[in-house]
Amino acid sequence: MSIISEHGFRMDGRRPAQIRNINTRLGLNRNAEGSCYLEHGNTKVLCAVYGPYESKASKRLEDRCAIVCQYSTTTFSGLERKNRPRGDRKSTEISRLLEKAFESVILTESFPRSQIDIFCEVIQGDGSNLAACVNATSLALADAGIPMKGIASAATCGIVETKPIVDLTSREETDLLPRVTLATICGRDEVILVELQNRLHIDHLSVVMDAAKATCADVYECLAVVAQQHLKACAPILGN
Amino acid sequence: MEVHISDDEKLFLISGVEQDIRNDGRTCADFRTIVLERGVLSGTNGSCRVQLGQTTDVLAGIKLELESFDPAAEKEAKQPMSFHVDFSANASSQFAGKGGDQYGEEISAAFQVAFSRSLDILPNLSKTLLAEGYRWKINVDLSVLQWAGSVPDACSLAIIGALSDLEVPEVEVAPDDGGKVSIVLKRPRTGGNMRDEEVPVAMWKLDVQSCPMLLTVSKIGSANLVDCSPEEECCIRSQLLIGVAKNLNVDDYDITCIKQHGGGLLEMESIQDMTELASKTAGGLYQAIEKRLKTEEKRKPGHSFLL
Amino acid sequence: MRVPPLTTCEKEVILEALKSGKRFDFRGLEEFRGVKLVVGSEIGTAICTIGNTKVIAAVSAQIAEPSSMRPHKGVIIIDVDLSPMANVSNEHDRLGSKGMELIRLLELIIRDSRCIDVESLCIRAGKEIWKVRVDVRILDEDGSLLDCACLAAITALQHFKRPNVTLEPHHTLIYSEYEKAPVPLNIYHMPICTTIGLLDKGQMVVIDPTEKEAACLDGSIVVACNKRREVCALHQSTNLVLSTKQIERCVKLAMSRAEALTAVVSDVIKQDQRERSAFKRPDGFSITTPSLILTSGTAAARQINAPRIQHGREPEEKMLYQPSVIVNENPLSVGSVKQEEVDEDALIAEQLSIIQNSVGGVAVSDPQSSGVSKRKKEKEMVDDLLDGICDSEEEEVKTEILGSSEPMEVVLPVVEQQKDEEDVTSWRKKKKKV
Repeated sequence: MSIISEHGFRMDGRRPAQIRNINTRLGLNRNAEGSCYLEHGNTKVLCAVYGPYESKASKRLEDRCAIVCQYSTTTFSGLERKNRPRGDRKSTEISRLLEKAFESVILTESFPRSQIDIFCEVIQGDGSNLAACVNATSLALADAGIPMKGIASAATCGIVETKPIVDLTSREETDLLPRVTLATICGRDEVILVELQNRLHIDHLSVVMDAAKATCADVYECLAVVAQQHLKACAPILGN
Repeated sequence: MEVHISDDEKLFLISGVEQDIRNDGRTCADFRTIVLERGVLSGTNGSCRVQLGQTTDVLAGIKLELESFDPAAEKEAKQPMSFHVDFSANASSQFAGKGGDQYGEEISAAFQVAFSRSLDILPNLSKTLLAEGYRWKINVDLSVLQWAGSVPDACSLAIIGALSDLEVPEVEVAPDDGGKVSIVLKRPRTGGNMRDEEVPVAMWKLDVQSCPMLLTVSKIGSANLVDCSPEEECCIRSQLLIGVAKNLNVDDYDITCIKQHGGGLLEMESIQDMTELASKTAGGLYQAIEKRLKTEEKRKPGHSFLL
Repeated sequence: MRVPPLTTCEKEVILEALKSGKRFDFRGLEEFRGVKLVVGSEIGTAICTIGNTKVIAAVSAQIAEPSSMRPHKGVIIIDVDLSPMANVSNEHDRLGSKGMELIRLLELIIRDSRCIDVESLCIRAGKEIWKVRVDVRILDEDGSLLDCACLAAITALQHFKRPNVTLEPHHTLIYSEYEKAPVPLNIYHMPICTTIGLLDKGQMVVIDPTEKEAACLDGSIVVACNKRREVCALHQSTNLVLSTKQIERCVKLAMSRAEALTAVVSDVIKQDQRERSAFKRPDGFSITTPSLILTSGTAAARQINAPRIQHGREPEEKMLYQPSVIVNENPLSVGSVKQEEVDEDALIAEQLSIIQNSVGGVAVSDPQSSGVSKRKKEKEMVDDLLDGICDSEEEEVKTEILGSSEPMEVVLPVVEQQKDEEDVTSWRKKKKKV
């Protein structure tokens, strides 16, 4: 089955430039400083943020805050049962990318010698897992009230026969499809995370990049609305 | 989450409990509000989410696997269910990396013991044995998303919910070449001219009336309690994980497992008292679950998170 | 061991220089360091040098059972060793985050980009496959570690040849290289990595930064491209804030570099193949080390044309005695030269006379005689020791003093015309000792 049918529809009925429905809920986790549950269609991600708190001696940085990320998937999140929820190479790599991305966004100079923990749990993975984690983390950080340069938004884009497709599902994430996960701040042209899977021809690079950037801007609009609504809902508590 | 309370608070708590009054107004045998929702995940064969008192949050997911085994190599029939409890780092920073592995393994082992006679207890579980050398393997995985005491209780409720939600496909077993068997999904033809793949597969459900339940009974001072909050867990003398199963023949409860969690000393009479309390509480819980499972409407999967 | 951090003044100087477009090794901001690539004498080994960064890669293959998930695909395993030899901050036997990143990148480039045909590595589906192992050892670190490691690994894979196999009904026959020529791996394309450093929020681009420069930069990005103008990997090494245009620019720079380096790799492999097919013994890694070593000298081997001895009696029974020195023969090996017992005294007397006659032509100047006699003593000591070890009689042991410009013409102590009786008897004693 081809990814884009002859009429121009994808397997789940979307158009190539259409993203899935985004559903969010903030403040689920009572123990954490900030938490967010985010859905990109069938991909469900839970993110919890702890901190900033005094860091352990091994991780302490004198001039800025240390960011520790952990990406884990539940054993029942994928199509086949996975034995190890975390600790394998792929999860460590994604954790590292999340750390690097958010080090650029969070104003770490405001909290020297402290640590911020970001934990992402993928409850159900149906493609674009990394992008969903970045979005969930941005909202969780906003919920925790940690100062940032802006809300980061991410999207995964692939290309099929010179046509870009955005927000891939797991059925579309095949071994042959080149895809780029891009994260930007506030939908502007400031890229904080870039990850490429499979080989991409250089002529297609600018096409994919532009599509990804546009999608990030769209996702940012959704996330910004969510953050504003949450703030309005909390305003009575703040005594405003 | 590590809760630190002062000695005066502990004293207040212990003396209150000994008079059957807890800090949040419950009695010693009361549970916190339980929210149970099934069918939460569409990617699993059965799932359930349980919230205890709005803080402890456990998600259970079941995945089926077709397993081939060597009947000669196994002396007794192996249990088709395997349990795995994972503490997500969302629950607490201390569970990051390998922090939650030890506690998770302890609870998984307790469940394995509690369900060890499940082939006798659960009436139609033996249907999972398909043919000589093939059976369904039921992998029950639990993910603890939030932690505020009483994790084993929440886990056992989630397991019962998920098992009742589980749908196992019906299969037809036919002999094949080379001594093997071919296993094909059964699709009952209801007439009409639908293609073979479009006919939905027939499913059967497990009967969970007498499913074992794992309860945590703790001893604070001279009183026995169920469902401790984190503050109460700081004051306990000792804790027992007791597995209770409903006996269908006699209107009574069987104890399938007793495990001590943590340290502490217990007298023989205390253990008897605690098991009695566990049976009584289990009775109440079974009734509540039955009522809930009957009256629950099927909602959109995953809706519970958005509430 | 902790590496002392970069001092603030060093950092400021480097940043200032970079901002004005100058670098400490006189390169331009967009200039690469020279790359040296050498393949070893053993098949499947390569050393890559970029500036001061040195990496060695070795490829080996083994037959193994495939995983049940992929029964007809071969397996490629990558192992990286970051030893304290490269950088003192590395821990021995433990891969820190840098090592994990390197392994991840190598896996991405070699495994995930599918540059090697793993299906051709299958011998028997479900039972036997080739497990190819790439070992990468970092010898020295000075920036662009990922580039160097990838290049070394790719060259080693290109160079490697696995043994040829045939399938028999009940077993697999593996041929050695002498029976059937080994088969090279089926490589579709060669991904080449480039490390691009970023400065000033991505406004400036610094190509191929050294270790010191990398510590001052804002961040870096690694791009892997191949000759077919495909981007194989876009790896974010550190945190960065870039625009998409800048990313595209970096990719273009990496692309041109990849094309140049692919040509270099192919050249090196072709040259090595030419040498091997001409049956020339490959130089291997010896050409990487400069041959200027002051602490050892070479001495030319000299062959002594020893005279033949006439036998007086019983010629049929005795072997032809040839007290020749066999050059390159290990005099310490037991039983290398077997000789029979001959009448010693007459033999010795004859030999003496002959040697005296031939030695007469050599002029031994007086000032050297003292030195010569010292050496003579040393030689005697050495001869004593060697004789003691030697089993066979009449074997002459060649001892040369290294460093001497004029090796002694004869092994035996220099015999002057007026030979002492002592000397002869002592010499005889030596012989008798055996």
